[in-house]
Amino acid sequence: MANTRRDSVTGALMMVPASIVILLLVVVPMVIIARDSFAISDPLGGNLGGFTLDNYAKLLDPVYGKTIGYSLGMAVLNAIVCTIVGYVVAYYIATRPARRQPVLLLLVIIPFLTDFLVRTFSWITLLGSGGPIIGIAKALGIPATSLVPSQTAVVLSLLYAFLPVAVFPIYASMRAIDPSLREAAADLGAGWWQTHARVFVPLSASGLASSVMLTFVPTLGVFVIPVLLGGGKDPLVGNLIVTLFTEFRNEPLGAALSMVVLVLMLASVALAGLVTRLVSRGARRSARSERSA
Amino acid sequence: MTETPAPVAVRLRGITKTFGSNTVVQPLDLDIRDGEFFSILGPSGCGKTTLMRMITGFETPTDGSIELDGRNVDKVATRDRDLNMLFQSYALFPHLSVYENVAFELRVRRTPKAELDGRVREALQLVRLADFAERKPSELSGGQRQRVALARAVVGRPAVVLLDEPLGALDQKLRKEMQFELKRMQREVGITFIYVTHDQEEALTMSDRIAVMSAGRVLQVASPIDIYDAPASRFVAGFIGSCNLIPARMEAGKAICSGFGAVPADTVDAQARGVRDGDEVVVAVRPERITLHADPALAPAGAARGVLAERVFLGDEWTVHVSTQGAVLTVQVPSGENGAALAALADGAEVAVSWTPAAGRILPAEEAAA
Ligand SMILES: Nc1ncnc2c1ncn2[C@@H]1O[C@H](COP(=O)(O)OP(=O)(O)OP(=O)(O)O)[C@@H](O)[C@H]1O
Ligand SMILES: [Mg+2]
Repeated sequence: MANTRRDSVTGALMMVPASIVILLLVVVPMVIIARDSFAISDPLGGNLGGFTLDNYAKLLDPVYGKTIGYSLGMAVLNAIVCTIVGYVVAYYIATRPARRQPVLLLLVIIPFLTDFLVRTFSWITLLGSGGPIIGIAKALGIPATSLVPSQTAVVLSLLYAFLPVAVFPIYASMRAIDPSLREAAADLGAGWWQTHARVFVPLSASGLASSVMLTFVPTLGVFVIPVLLGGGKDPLVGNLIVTLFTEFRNEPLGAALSMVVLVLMLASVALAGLVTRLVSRGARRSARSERSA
Repeated sequence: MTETPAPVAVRLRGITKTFGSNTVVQPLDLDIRDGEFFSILGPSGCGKTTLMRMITGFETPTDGSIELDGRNVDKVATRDRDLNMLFQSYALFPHLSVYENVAFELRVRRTPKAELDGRVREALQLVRLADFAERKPSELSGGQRQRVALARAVVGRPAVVLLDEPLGALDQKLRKEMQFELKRMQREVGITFIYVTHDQEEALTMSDRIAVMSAGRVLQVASPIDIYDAPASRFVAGFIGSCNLIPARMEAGKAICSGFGAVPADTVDAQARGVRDGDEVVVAVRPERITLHADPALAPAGAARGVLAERVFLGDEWTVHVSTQGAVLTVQVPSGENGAALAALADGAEVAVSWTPAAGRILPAEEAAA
């Protein structure tokens, strides 16, 4: 008895450093932003404190709604594209000989070791008018000028930026799959598509779900890519928040928008969780009823 | 040549497998008949699994060709070969229930729903797991998983099922039970079973025919009785059961051993197999075919004399080592009268051993190196 109590006290003590870090880095800034979102702004960029719902009322302006909607769409698109490409890459790596896998994983992370801005600029060079892509297109006689700025460039570079985040969780769940299952599936008549649909996708479902979440959420906060590669014509929420804080110098309004985005993120994560649960339960139920029928 | 042999289910011709510079399966020919329980028996690393994987199509043979039911399948993918494999590790799908694991092949091959349920239930009945349909593989014991894997392998009614040491992971008691179960099921479904094992007893009790492999070569293909009583080589004699190997030399049609004189052996059969005077040979004699004479004076003519070196009581029999001039022989003596006489002897007592010529099989002393 005494022992378990001491253990639980030690356990609680060991949680202290982590709790402090989370408190300082997550909870405190969140509380400050939540507080600011209700504050009164002054036109010179000051924060007068007090309490008002004006900031949220201003966000009802369709301009904001449009950007939020566009961002959510872009985030969903990016999450899907990253997860599909991530699945292909993860499957490729997981089915290579064990000793080659670390090298391939390293190749996936290497771009992550360079600065985000540098990576984004490199896409301008790659897709720009003097770049190799346009060069090849011209050589093939396809009339092309420059892919920057364009939505294609934005989607491509978002994919590039978030691919490793998608590959890792999928690879982790794929490595746990017994390699003989692939042979068992082939032996039982499954072709390429069936093997993936019936064995590999369901068995890496947790990795796929993490990948969707890990790519969807941060896409909403991206602000460099739309400016550099999209020409700033179609800003994401991230851009809007930056603009509100820096150009408009309206801290409370920026904070309010941040809160809205935060709530939307949480809501989408919850929704995704709910959908996954319903789908898997439905699948189980339909399999059962099919059987008893 | 008057009887018509059963049609051939699997025909291998010149099958070879090389990994890098390492030849794992030497060119081999093998015919496995329709409906037979065929075992491949051999020590670890002799290429049994590799041979199976070439038949399923997981590995491409370096050379040679494979026919299934008279059809060449060298260019046919695994999933289009009419056979299923039971994996050493079972390879059940962990996310699917027992029912769905068994139904997998039927779903993949788009079997009509009405038929599917009946066949899955039938397969589960066959392996006596009908009450476990909704469980996940992780909720089953090793023996139950093994049976799910078997149900999954036979549900699509393939012509051939390959089993790679399916009982390897089970404990001794369960193994014995499953051996009978497997044999019963094979008879019930009438599917050709190709069964890999390195347990000789398992191979002897279950098989219609056995292929003994060593270092990538098939040394002998025969019925269990022939493999045991008429081994074709020194390796087969030594690998299956225990066997006394007495070195000798052929002289004037007899196997002569310096210590024994003429060793009782089946010389007619040996000549038929091409053993000639001057050949170095071994005479293989099973321990249970040797008679021990506690009183050498009463031994028949031609019995070899020796000294009682060691004996172990096993309940129903004794295992005795008799040191003769030519070799140390292992002899099995059933408990009972003979056993009682044996128990009365002191260590080092003079005894005699004898066996009939038919019990001694003459084999080449050196394995034929190809
Ligand atoms: N993919 C491979 N690459 C290289 N060598 C291999 C490969 N697969 C098998 N081998 C080699 O081939 C030989 C035969 O292997 P195999 O698995 O067929 O043996 P086995 O008879 O099934 O043995 P066990 O009874 O231990 O299962 C071994 O020496 C093994 O190291
Ligand atoms: Mg093996």
